[in-house]
Amino acid sequence: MACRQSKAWSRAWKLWISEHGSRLYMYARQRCSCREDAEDMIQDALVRLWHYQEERNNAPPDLPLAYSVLRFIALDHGKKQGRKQKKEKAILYLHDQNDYWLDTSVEDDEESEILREAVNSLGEKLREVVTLKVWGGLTFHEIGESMAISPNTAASRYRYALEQLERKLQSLNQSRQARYGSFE
Amino acid sequence: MDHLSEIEKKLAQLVPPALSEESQCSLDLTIDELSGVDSSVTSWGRFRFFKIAAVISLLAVPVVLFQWGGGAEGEDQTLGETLEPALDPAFDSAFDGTLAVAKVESIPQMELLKSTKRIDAQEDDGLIVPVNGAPPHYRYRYRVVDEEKVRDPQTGMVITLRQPRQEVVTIPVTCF
Repeated sequence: MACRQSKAWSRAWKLWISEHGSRLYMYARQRCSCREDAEDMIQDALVRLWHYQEERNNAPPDLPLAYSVLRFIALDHGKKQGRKQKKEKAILYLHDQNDYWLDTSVEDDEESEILREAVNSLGEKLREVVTLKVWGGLTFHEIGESMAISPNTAASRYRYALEQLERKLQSLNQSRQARYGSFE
Repeated sequence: MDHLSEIEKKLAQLVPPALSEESQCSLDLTIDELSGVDSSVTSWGRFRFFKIAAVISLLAVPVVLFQWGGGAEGEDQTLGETLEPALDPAFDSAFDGTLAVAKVESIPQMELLKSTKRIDAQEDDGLIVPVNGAPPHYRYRYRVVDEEKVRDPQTGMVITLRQPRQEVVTIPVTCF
């Protein structure tokens, strides 16, 4: 009986990971510098979420909770990385642009690339809201819970981020056309 | 907000990446451990499945080649046709079910679509003090992936070529 229950939990959680893994990865990836760190963070988050959900019949967690835990782990990871980097006189801080958090192998057009650049250049808080809203599958209310802000603040940041993206898209388009000429 | 819905649609079209296979397996194992399921059974089952699948694929290759060559009746002739052209440097045929050998001149000119150099990972080796008395330096290793996407204009086929390599960057320690 216990064995059957364990298998049922295992199946449920694996299904949950297969459904939301890419979203969690995307969120984690924007908060660190490489794929390996992001996947480590997801691994840590999984263990924490499991222990948290033990009191709730071991059911897979809600997405807002998962993002909250991941956010906490990312903050901790960021602090450790920041301390390490401050110790060194590392002039180079490389930020992997293309493997970042959007799969570049599917779209090939110029505009998608420009859009990725524009999203990448957003401030951290705005980028986080956009990630959670567009790809994270959360409502503003859930984003507010995850980020410990009000839903109105989440909505405002989202609108502001979209406006910024629209402006950046236009200016990047113009600068590329000035460099390479029109492609039409 | 209507004018922003256009941007929203474009953003939604960008595809989020998936977890790597290694990470996926690692997460599955973690779930099995946490739930108390015997992961040796599941991983052995998975391993056995892949072993069986590999054996079936290897057995299927001669069958596919045999059928491609024209069947049992024409077996000898087909094999002859397939072997000889490979030996004959002048042979150059369109696809007719036999193996064709392409001459150097007939390799299509590929169209370069995209060429990127991506830094996949960074490792910090820290301060290195050489034993030979050379000045100390900081060493960083970068895993770089060169990726090129090319297209054959004749067939429209798109091929992505990825070449990973390691770059080592040393930063000498300045005097202070």
